[in-house]
Amino acid sequence: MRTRSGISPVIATVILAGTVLMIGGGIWSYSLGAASMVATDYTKTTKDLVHTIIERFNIEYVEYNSTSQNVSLWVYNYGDIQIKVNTTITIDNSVYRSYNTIIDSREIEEIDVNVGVLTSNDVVSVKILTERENADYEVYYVQ
Amino acid sequence: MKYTMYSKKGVSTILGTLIFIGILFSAYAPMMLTMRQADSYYEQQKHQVSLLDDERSREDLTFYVYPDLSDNLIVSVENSGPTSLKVVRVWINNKIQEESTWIQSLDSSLFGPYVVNPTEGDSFNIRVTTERGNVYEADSGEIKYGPVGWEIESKIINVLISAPGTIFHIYIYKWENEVWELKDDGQVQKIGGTAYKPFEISAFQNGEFRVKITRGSSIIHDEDGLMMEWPEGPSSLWVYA
Repeated sequence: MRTRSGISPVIATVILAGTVLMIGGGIWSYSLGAASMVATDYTKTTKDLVHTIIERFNIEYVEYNSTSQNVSLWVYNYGDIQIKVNTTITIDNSVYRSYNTIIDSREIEEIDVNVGVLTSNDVVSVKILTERENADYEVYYVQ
Repeated sequence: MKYTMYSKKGVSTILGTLIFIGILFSAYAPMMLTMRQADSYYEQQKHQVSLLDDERSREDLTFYVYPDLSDNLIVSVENSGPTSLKVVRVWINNKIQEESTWIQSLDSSLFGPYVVNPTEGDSFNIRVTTERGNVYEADSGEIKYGPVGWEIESKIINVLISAPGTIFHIYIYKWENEVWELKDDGQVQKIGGTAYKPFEISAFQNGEFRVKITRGSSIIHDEDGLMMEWPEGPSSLWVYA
């Protein structure tokens, strides 16, 4: 006959150790997940912020074509990243828009907006706004 | 025989603390490293873009336009700034001529000839764009094709004074009939460290000009040999004192 006294403390110790390891592992896993999520968010926010501050573009030329009745503007992206721009043209109280023009780095893009008939000396206000909220403005007087 | 008894009380607390710190460190250290990397990337990009802005603001370019014998246009560009620049576009009205030419500081380069097939009454507004996004217009303004051929809006002598003093008098002479004839004069006041005055000389024809600048009764600058030879040379001349 072998005595079984002493087995239950061993089992208790194993259960206790297992429970502690499980809880510890869970906390560690949660902490690791939370930390990596925070780090990923932070990196993404920083990257977005960097893209916002390194965007560089300008309205290089504006012209009205009386035949096509278009205001044409040329936007030059002289920065290192691609930009997406929305164009707003205001003439008197009328507003004309063009959306989502993509301009690659170091490229110039022509944007045509139909504005109807304009007469000499009409004032055309042009605003370019990127999706990262950077803007450029130009005022053009119809020739 | 002597036995030393060590109590093991507190060992598990210390071990637990160490394990806790280990877990904390292994979970948060990668996060801290990643965030530090993001921060240094941000600083690096900010620095680079401020360098680009600085270089852009220091760019300086002057150019003039002249026709060749076939009525094509040639653009002579001079990089008068301290940094090299790249010309990426020449605009002729609303038409783009793509270019890709580096010009070193204080160097110059010719672009064209550009075929424009001018007819009487046509005017051409020429602009030059650099890779850093600066757009320059010709000092002489538009070039026109009139009844007697090519014309420019103006021939100018620009005088820029940064010499000590506040009020200066400028005299423009032209070499005619073996003497320096006074053609124009004007007074200028220094604002913000420099004084600038342009003199329109279109009415005086091409030839050799001389600029004399006085402060009170003393002459501070006297420069001759200023050749206005447009279209064989620039239509705007600069005098620095």
